[in-house]
Amino acid sequence: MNDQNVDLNFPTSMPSSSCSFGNTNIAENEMCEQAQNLFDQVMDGETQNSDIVSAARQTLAECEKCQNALDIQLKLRETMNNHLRVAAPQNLRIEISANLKRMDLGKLDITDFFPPNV
Amino acid sequence: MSDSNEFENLAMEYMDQLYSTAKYWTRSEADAADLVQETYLRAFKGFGGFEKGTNLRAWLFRIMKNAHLNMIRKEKTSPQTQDVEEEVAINLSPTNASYLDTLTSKQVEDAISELPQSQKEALLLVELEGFSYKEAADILSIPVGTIMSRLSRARKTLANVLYEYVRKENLITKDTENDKHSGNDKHSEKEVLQKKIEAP
Repeated sequence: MNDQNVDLNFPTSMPSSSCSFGNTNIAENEMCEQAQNLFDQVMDGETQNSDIVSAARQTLAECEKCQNALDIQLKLRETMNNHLRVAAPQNLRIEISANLKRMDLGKLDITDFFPPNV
Repeated sequence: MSDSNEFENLAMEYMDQLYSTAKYWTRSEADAADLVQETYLRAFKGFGGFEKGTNLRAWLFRIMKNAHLNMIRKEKTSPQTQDVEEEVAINLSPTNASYLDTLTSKQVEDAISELPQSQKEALLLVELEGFSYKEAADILSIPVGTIMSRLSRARKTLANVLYEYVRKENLITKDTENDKHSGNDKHSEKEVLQKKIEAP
């Protein structure tokens, strides 16, 4: 997870079902799509720009679909972190450590493990 | 301190992260172990060229990405290694996040495996390992914009694939319950039919 999590401050009022983000001449789904890209950047800590964060909050307050989509993305992140973290096997650590020492002592070279032309 | 000790002190703390990512890149624990081993040995070999104070973790992941590409070139046949932006066909999209509460680790792993390789790589680096878009782009040698689009597609696909899993599971559970409820009736119908057939 990124360290710089941004609190999007979910709105408490009931939002409307349509998205008002961006250009109003384009289709609703496309506007929600643009909003989702914005949420992704904020959620991933890629922007600290207060205008962008405000725009994201405003959009969330007005679009139920966007709010649900963000809710799913945040939950998905939690789910991935809960289920996908695995520890490397202990014997792998031992094996790598031993092979590094052999390489350090000049007893083995990387080509002994991974021949260049195979 | 020997060179290998210095290297180990700095680099070994990232082994779990490398292994987690390698496991889902390769879809095999054995291949993941090979990939991580190759990463460490190649990193040690090139450690003299590593600029101290820069991002060692990102450097290790970049080496692992290159080692993985080599692994793919050697294997060539493995379908999961094809870097094709094929879309996973999905019928329905979720409307709220509650379905994610019921998932098992196996379902999440299976769903990750269904993602196209390029999307999976971007998703795991950013979502699981917390790399910035720029770092992930450097590791994968692609533009930041490509990371963003792959990430966006991967998230949507993953959410939808998991939703399909839960939806199908619920349908199966309902069918099983229906069968249980109607089981006696079906049994009696069968018995009646059997008696009719056997009757002289």
